[in-house]
Amino acid sequence: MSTALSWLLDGIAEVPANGARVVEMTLDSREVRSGGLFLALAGGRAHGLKFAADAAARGASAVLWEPAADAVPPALPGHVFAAPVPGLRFLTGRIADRFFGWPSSNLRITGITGTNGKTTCAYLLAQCLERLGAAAAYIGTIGFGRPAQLTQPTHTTPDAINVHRILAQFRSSGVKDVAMEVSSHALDQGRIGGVRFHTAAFTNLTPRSSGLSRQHGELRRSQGEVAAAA
Amino acid sequence: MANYGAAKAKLLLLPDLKHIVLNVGDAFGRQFAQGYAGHAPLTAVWVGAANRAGWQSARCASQRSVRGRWASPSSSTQLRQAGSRDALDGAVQRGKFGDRDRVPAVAGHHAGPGCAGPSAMRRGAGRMEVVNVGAVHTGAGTPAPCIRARRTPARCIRARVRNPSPWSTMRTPLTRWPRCWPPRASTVWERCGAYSAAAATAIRANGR
Repeated sequence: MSTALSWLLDGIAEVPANGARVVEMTLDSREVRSGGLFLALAGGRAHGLKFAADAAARGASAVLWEPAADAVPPALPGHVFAAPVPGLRFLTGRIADRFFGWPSSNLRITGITGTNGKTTCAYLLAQCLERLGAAAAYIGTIGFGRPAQLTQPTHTTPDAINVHRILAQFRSSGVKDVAMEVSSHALDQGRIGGVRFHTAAFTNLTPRSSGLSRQHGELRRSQGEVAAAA
Repeated sequence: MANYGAAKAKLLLLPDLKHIVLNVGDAFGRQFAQGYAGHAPLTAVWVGAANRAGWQSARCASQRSVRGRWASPSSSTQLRQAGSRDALDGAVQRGKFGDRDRVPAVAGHHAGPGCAGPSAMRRGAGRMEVVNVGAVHTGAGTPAPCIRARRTPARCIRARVRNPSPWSTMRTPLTRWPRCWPPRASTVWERCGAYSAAAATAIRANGR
């Protein structure tokens, strides 16, 4: 699968009309393959730009980065397209959605959020739907895939690219319904960007024993965004 | 806490949702249901004792929409048929549901047409269904037989997710209920099963 870079980044970044294509996209420079698109986001410990040169050495054909105070544009080979994209973290999902061919538009996705019970609800929902005769899958803490054949996960909600990659796999395997855990971190970090949810379910909201104060600080910005959306 | 809730609410405020399933047994869920102004139909699930406090919570979540609908005679009729807020109140006042946690079974199913909020009401787009799930009277938290037997939790709710609606069995006499739904304190499995079944219903009812 390869996609024209100009089409992929239409409305997001100015791309020279040189017919460049990308065959893969990733947030992890270690996973870059020849012809891949590397997205460098500002992380908690380091900015992804630090690894842009490594990504280019592995064959990346394009590098997009999220501008930040400490982000210094890297010196990359001339054939590698590189551009800063403000708000890239929240555009990653949209880019991935395009790249994988809008997989969520072919699936009925239920997102389940709340402090407790996300995993159980999502897994039971997937089982319910399977028993109702639907081809259903689950994404969450205990893995992703059909309920009886889960693959081990790395996060409760995978990163934005992997979410769409997984959804594309589901689509190609005939899955119609997806039950997905959506953590507040995933919401705050834009990991569900570009996903078209059919149903949203809320379980409960209780103070978490650890890290709540920190979460308050980190999520203060969210309140303004939600208020604006409402 | 409000900020934490706001982060969770992001999912519920996505613009193209076809349905929202809310736990109105939770303060945040009730608050959200009351203030929701979008167009997606809401299913307000409440798990626990069918007592006055529970009904008040559910009524609280649907109060605004129900009140708005009373202006129309046809809506009023519909509400009466479905079991209106006033009917629920009357039942509570008559003591039908008992008091506190001494209620022997799931008590009812309010499926009145309603709206989720003022703007939805104006557009006539929103509707709300309030569902009570949970047969609670011991408070002891005895594990359900199906869980003791280490069967898969999904089997517990299998009887509830038959077509057309898992809630259609709610008025079934207690003696005919599946073994795994005895009258006792609701467990986390039951709660999650209820939310999941409500979501499954919503998905099937609002399929593309």
